[in-house]
Parts: sequence; C-alpha cells; structure tokens
Amino acid sequence: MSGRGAAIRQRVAETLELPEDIVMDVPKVTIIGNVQMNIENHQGIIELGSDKVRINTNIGVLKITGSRLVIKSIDSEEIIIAGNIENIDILC
Amino acid sequence: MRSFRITAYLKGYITVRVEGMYPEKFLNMAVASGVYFWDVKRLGITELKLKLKIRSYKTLQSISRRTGCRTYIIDKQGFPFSLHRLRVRKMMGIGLAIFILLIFMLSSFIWSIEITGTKNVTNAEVQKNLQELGVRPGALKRGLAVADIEEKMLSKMDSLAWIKIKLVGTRAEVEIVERVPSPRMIPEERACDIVAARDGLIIKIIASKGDALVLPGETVSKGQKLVSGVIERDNAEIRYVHSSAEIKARTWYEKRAEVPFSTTKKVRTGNIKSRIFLSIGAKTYAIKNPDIPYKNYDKIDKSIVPIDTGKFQLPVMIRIESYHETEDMAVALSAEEAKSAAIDEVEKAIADSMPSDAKIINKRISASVGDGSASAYGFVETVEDIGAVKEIK
Repeated sequence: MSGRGAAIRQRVAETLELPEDIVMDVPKVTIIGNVQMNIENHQGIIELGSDKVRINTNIGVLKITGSRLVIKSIDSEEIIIAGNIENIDILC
Repeated sequence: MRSFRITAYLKGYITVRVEGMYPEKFLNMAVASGVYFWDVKRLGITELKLKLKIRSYKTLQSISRRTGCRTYIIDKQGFPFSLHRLRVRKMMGIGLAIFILLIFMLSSFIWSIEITGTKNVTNAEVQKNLQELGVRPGALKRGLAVADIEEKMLSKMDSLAWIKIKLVGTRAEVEIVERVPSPRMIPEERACDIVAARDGLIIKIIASKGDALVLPGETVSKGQKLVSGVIERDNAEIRYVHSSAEIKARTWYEKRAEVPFSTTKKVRTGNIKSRIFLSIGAKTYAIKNPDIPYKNYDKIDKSIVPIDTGKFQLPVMIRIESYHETEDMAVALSAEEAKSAAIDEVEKAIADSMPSDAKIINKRISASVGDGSASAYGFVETVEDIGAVKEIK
C-alpha cells in the first residue's frame, strides 16, 4: 500500500466512521490481562518458542516475550497466544 | 468457547509432534491451506506439538514434505476412536443398544392393574371384564383406546355407575363408582297379578288396578292370588292389566339358632410352602417341588402368563401353588357367650328376611342353655305389604 493511498483510506474511514482495521487492513490486537493475546489479521508466525513469540503483520513484527507461552489456537484469520506475557514490542 | 471442546471430542482429534528445522514455516503453510490448530507448544529446539482435527492430517503430510519436517502422531482422542475400540468388544455396544431398546419396549406395556372403589362388586369381577376388553398385564399401552374401553365397561357391567382408567407408567389405575341398584320392576306394559309372598292375615286391601280377590280379615297362604290382572266383564272383551294394590297384612317370622359351646375353627399357622411350575407349550417343568409335610392345609393356585398381548401370546406359563398349613383350633364359649351368640344369630336371621317397610307389632325371643350348647328361638309378628307381582304368561 502506497503512503498516499493509505492516507486517503484513513480519511475515508474516519469520515464514514468505518472500523479502521478493516479498511486499512491492519492487525487488531486484544490483550486480556497478561495471560492472553488475540491477534487478528496476521501474516504468519516467524518464531515460536516457550519464552518468545514473533508474529508477522502488515505493520511490522509483533514480538511477545514471557514464559510458558503457548499458541492457544491458530488459523488464517486469528492467532491466540496464552501464557505469562511480560513484554510486547511492535517493531515497525 | 466451551462448545468447541465438545465438538472436537465428538468428531475426534489427534495430537501431532512436528520435528524439523523450521517448524514455524510448516505452521504458516498449513494455516494458509486452511488447517486449524490449537494448543501449540514448543517442546524443544526442533520440536513442536499441536492438536488438530483428524481430517486435517492429510494436508499436513504433503506440507511436511515441502518444508522438510517429519510428523508423528502421539495421541488420538475422541469419540470415533472409542467407537473403534468398541469394535473389538462388539458385544458391549450391542448390549448397550439392546438395553436401551428393552427399556423403551418394556415401558410401553401395562404390567399391573390397580382397581379402587369396589364395595359390593368384587375386584376379580372388574378385572375379568377388563381383561376381556384388553386391559391385562402384558397389554400394549398404545393399543388401548381408554375412552372406548371405559364406555364398554359401563355397558358391560350394570353395577358400575362410573369408571375411569388412567395409564400411569406401566400401571393401569382403574377407579369405579358403583351404581345403587334400582329395584327390578316389571314394565308397565306387561300384565301381572299380585300374589301373597307369605302366609298372613289381610288387614287392608285396596286395588288401584286389577280386581281384588280377597277381603280384609281373610287368612291367605303363600302363593295365593290376591289381585287379578285379568279383567272379565259382561259385554266386554277380556282385558289384561298390570295390577297394583296397597295390601297390608299381618304376618310372622320364626327362626331358630343353636350355638355349641366348643367349636373348632380352622386357623392358618403361618407356615407356607410353595411349589413352582413352569410350562412351556405342552411340557411342564417343576422348578421347585418340595414335599408338603403338613397334615392340613389350604391350597392356593396362582398362574402367571408373563407375555400375553392378546394377539400374541407366548405359550409360557408360571404356576405357583402355595400351601398354607392350617390347624384346627378349639374355640370354647361360656354358657353366657353361647346364649348371646345364639340370640344375635336369630335376630339377624329374622331382620334379614324382613322387608324394610315391615312394622313390628310383636317380638318374642327366648333362649335356653342346654347340655353343651345354647339355643335361641325368635318369633316376630309384623304388619307389611305381602304382595308380590307375578307376570301373567
């Protein structure tokens, strides 16, 4: 997506009050406490370890560090990560 | 969220271990092809373990080749697997199915009948009529048209005024209310005479229909015609009427009774021995056939036909003969007791034989105690209607 295209789309979304993540095709991250994290609209797993998980998305790489990390479920739309989450980094 | 667990178990799922250099690549490719995983954990440097639907496993195999990973199935869970295990123990599955079927079937029959409300009518009579109409142990519940049977029962048994049959579970609850019997009357259209029901002395006779044949003051004997229904007049045809008259006559009753001082009464000791027989078709087998050591006993026979649905009757019958030991017990009465017993007997006998509208004008009861027994003699004079209707044939 070109920069200008993205800016136009954002303006359209704002004016029509459409949900941004659908219009812009960006991931939506829901964090529940420090035990669960849902990432919708992802682009695959880069790395999976019991203390580090890296997920690829449109805007960059999401790095999650913690302990006892487990992928509770994964399909093409959504990844749910559960465990003891300590750090969340968005690496754009 | 919870329902997923249940559906997953119902459909069955497997736990797979993935070994390879880049298991994440394997994950991404599988997810892109539409496979859904859950409970994904890293076991070691090169290992992952995950759970997936059985159907998805095939897709895994082609992907694993392309990504250079090996997949191993470590666990199989779910209903389809239990079913497979049952295949070796087929009888258990079949047994379970038969059990459920049996429960269903057996509960669609009637196995016991309960009758309430009987006073003068015997339970056995009601039961016999019910059985003829199809309400019996072993009858199919669905085949019983209850309203129909209720109607038929009412017309079958005159003594019933009301009947209600309820099928509760496997029991038929039958409630009845008896009809107060109406006196049997000869219909008005039939011609009849009036005759004397007993010997007596006529006090009053007024015939409202028919010709009176006797006058007050006459003594009549039992069977004598008092009012005639055959009307003969000169110059007219013979007419036949239904006689009716008011008749008052003086009549008497006498009864005697004797009560001995010592009598023997047969009493059950409480010891019971039973013999059980099973008959299949024409053959009879004794299941339990002990010797009966009692000298005196009451024998009660009971037969049970376990399966009898009216149309289809299994020729199997179980017969139970119960022998209740009895003993002759001597009952000793004192002279006074015997005397009052005799008097009671006489009074009751006379009261029973008297009609309800009789007026007692004289009553004499005497009792005496003799050698070994007491006797009573009763003499009652009454004024009553001794007329009885008798049809003219």
